Amino acid sequence: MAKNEALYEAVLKGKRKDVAEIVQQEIDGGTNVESILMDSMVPAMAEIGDRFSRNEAYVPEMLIAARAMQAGLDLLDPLLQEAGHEPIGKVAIGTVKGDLHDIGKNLCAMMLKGAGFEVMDLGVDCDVDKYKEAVENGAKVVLLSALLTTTMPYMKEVVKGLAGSGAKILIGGAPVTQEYADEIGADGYSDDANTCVKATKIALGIAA
Amino acid sequence: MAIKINFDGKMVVLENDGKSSVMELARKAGWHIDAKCGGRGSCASCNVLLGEGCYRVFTETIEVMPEQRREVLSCQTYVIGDCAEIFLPRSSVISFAGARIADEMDIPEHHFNPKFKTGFGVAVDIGTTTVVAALIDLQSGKIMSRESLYNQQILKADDVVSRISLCSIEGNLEALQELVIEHTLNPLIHKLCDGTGTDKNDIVHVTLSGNTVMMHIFFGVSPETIGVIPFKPVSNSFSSTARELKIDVNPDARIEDVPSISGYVGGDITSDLHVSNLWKRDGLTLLIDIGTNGEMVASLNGEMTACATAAGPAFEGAGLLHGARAASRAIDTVKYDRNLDFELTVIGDPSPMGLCGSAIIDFIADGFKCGLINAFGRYDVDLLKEKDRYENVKGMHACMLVAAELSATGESITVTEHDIAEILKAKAAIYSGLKTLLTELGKTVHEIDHIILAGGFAKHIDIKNAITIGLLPDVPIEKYEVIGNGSLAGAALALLDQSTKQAYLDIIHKPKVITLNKTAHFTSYFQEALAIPNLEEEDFPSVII
Repeated sequence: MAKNEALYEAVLKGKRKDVAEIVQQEIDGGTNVESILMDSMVPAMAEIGDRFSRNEAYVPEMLIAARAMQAGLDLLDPLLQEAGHEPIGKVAIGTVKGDLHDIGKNLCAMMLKGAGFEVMDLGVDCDVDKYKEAVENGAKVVLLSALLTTTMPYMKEVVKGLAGSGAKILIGGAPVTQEYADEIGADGYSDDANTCVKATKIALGIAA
Repeated sequence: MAIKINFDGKMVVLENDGKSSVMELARKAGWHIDAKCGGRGSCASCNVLLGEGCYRVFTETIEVMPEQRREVLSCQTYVIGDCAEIFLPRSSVISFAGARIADEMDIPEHHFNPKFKTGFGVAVDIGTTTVVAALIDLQSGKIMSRESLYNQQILKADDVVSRISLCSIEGNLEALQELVIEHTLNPLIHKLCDGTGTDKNDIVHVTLSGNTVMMHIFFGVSPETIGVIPFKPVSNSFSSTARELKIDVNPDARIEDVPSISGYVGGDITSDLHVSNLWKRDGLTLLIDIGTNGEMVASLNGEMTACATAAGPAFEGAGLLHGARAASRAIDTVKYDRNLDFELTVIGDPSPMGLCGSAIIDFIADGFKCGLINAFGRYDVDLLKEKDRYENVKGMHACMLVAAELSATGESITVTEHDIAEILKAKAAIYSGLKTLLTELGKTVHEIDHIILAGGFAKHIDIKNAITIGLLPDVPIEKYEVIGNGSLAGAALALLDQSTKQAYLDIIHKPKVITLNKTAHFTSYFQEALAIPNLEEEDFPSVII
């Protein structure tokens, strides 16, 4: 299947019910499930991410589109697994120990899913062991989020804890800067959900 | 040879002390620079333009040539040498002129039984953004005068979370405490005394009501534990003396707070609960305090459940391109239809400088009704262009409300799509918070019997418009009741009747506090609430036709 324009538009406009309907029609019609995801839905999320970066779309629209995308993914996920579909990469994301502020983290998780990654959402208040476990379960990139200067220093502990595991570590959140990433030896930094997708691709050596 | 600082056609000349940032130099010159992130260099609210001179920006040394201008973050910039010229743009300077008084309060019936039988007391509502104080004659119980001022802590950081963060850096707790006492409360006390001919030494009792973080900082206790799981305050209640806290009243005066319920549900809510008797009401009643920290309590036949949601300062005008605090020269109401002929009202002076929260709610509501703004907060750009209202501001679509020649700033007053997105995030935080609270109780918004709105802001919003944008639940308007500043009324009651203190200590154990992020529904409710009025259309039958 080439791009399904109606599905692409439905994701872009955040129409959850339409997305679910069209995806179901495509599944019933025997379209390759991988193609439904990669040719129509992923490009729609990439487009909204780019519009966001150009100041042509804002967080509400991006979250609403991500919610529509999720409605399609809920239908596709079991079939993708059956078909032995390989995600473009497996990543884990969570807010660090002590930090419960997860709106930014959730947005990043959605954009990563929207870009075709398999995302292990570790939730909030994650300690080093939780990140380690994710790496043992196959995460190639670990993304850490912190909103407070009081919880940010824990990122350093995670970097130490994951040393030698081979996983790349990306960090983000309001007080986090590139300088801080360099200081603690993280592999990268991003300041919004769209650049987070780009940074993850760079960390994995995938063409952005 | 000196540093010249320019703003609004005026220039102040200072010496370089070598250790003050450009932000601090501007403050010495008398202009307060907005520092939303607390001066950590992670936002751009404190941008200034550098003229000729030599500077250190972060760790870089830069030289600006004559006639050249360089835009930098003032909190991260230092002057090297003695000679420099700095220009402050309007967007970076906070105006303190003519704060509108958020002091309307109704004190419920009570026994008159003050702890101190003679002299005067001061009741204070310490908000994240605004502080209000009332002078009360303890012999007669009469309220002599009321005054309000911005909480000067906003010079360092806008919201509660950034202020907690600041306190992790040495010296900041003391600095914040000084800003709220020496630079906010003491000036208010002087105004109250001067206006009524009262001797400040006759003030023997001061009661405070405010959120838990504000109380910690006021009493000089670090609120850091409230910032991390499990968000425990150091204490639910504090007391001290005026001497200890350097409050400019009788040095032996007793200083007490209204006790708080949890780390994020503060004494302001304890006050609201006492004033509204929330738990004594039948059925399902919701109390919402619309502020920077949106706190709310649901009472189901007397069983109370509370939560707090991070709305941020957008409703108070902060973070919007032409946002204004609800003060003189702020547009406070807007009305229009598809012709885009805007009918505006302005507080005080007729030439406006920006929009305050109530006006931006009106703007979005009418825009949605007439089709100018779609459900995702985007403009009908063709309509804007057709009616000569279109502006492009830094690449963003914007609607021009007031032409440059009619505004106080000499620049047109606009609302960008980014501004609308900021308001949508704030209203989504409040609405999804209250919906989650109801879901936890097994209820829906349509089962609400009564809604009580508290907080200075609540008095001034158009409730119908707030329903249209999806900030407040779509229930008949008769079910709404506005109590105004319940926090100030609660502090006043603590002065007027000493038995109130015990009532407060009983109240704080009544509500069960829930943490929204830990519930199953909050995240999806938040996403749904980002649209106007909401993606769950059945929540808003009167708006979706």
